[in-house]
Amino acid sequence: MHRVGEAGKVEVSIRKKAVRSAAGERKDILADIAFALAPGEVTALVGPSGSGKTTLLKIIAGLDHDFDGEVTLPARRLGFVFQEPRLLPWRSVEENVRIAAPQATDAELDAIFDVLGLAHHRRHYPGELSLGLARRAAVARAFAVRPDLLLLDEPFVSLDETLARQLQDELIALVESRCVTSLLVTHDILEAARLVERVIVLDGRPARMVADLPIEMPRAQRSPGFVSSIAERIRATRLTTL
Amino acid sequence: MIWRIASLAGFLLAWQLSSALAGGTLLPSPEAVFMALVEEARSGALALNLLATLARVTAAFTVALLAGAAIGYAMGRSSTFDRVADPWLILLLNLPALVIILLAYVWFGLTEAAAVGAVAINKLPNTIATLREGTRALDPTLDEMGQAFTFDPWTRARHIVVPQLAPYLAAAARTGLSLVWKIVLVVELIGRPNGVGFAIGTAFQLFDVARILAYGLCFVAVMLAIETCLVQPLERHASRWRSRKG
Repeated sequence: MHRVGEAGKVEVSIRKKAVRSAAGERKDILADIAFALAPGEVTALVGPSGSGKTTLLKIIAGLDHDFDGEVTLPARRLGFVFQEPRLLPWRSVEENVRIAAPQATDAELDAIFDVLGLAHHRRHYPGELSLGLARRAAVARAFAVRPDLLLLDEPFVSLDETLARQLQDELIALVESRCVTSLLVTHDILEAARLVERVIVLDGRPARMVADLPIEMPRAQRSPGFVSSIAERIRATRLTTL
Repeated sequence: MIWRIASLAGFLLAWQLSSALAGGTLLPSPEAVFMALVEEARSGALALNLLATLARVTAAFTVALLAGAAIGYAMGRSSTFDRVADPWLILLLNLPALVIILLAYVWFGLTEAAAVGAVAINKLPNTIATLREGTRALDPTLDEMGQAFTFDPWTRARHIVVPQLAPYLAAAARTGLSLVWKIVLVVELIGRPNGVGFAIGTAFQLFDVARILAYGLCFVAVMLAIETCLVQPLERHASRWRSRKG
């Protein structure tokens, strides 16, 4: 069940989520997951692959209603960055963004395209872009809708490390300048330790919340040593190891 | 290009030779056919008949494409509707064109609506089947994207669904055009007082082979013009995002 709440708070409470396998048997994949996101908070959802992170994100986004529990959203304006860019191949980069965000002004779009280094690619079709640029276009689309909640599903996966770092920095710059409540799904613990203010760890079958760690140190002041110590703490909470 | 011209010249030469062998009554020479064409054009009958046929082709084609696309889309989206409508579709696919035409004339009289309707129904099942396949091939991840960004139904249709169905619509239109105009001629032959089919029928009764060929070739020329001036540019426009790749 989805409700619209007040004060910009996101509340997620899922008692159970089952899926039917191809063989026809029902299997629980999520159980007893409950957390709230404060306005402007940047949270990572961490867990091994196949632990239901993407499913959880879809439930929060209202794309999957077949679950037992409740989700309360601040309002219905959502920015979603999918694992694949999911751009419309028959529309240019700029058209892709404008179709999703018809209310965005030219100045807003200019600013977003500038930060993401897309200024020269506005007229290109997605098929002409590299994966890194296509991901940027997907991020631009999600920000252009002025989201109340930004959901990111492994947006840096299969990019080389320099490129991933660069996109992470651009993304964080956008999130900070706009104060958007964000939920980032990742299986990369170091990435989580560097970027977010809070880490929720999912593990087990069905997946449950095994940890909820705040990281209070401001992002800019985190040293590589601090990041790896946080990563160690996250790793220690897991039932299974990668 | 040079091969095309050579091929065309070869065709005219073979025609001329066969005509000389078979005799001018059975197979008139290219020149005799051209003279018959000029005569028809001068009397105004050619323009009248061509326009009447083109109007019927346009009407039947539009009806069949719109209705077929809507039904095919619905069948592709809903498996229940697909199961209910599929036997009807198979029936319609295998019903001979002639039966549909004669029944339409018997039930609704020798009217324009019966003629156009009969042609449209002949084309309909093929459009439905093509668009159903297209709808089944729609990318669910893009649907999900549209849902996440709360696209309204019009935006979804225009930017997500129609571009994906465009190649299927083009295929249905391509096969549709050639099918529709052939059936329109039969409908005109049986029950209309004008049109290319009617003119060919009259020429047949008078054993005027030159006039039959004149109308036949003229209609091929018109359809070729529609294909190159309308269908191909439209297709190029719809697939421009593909051609720029790489």
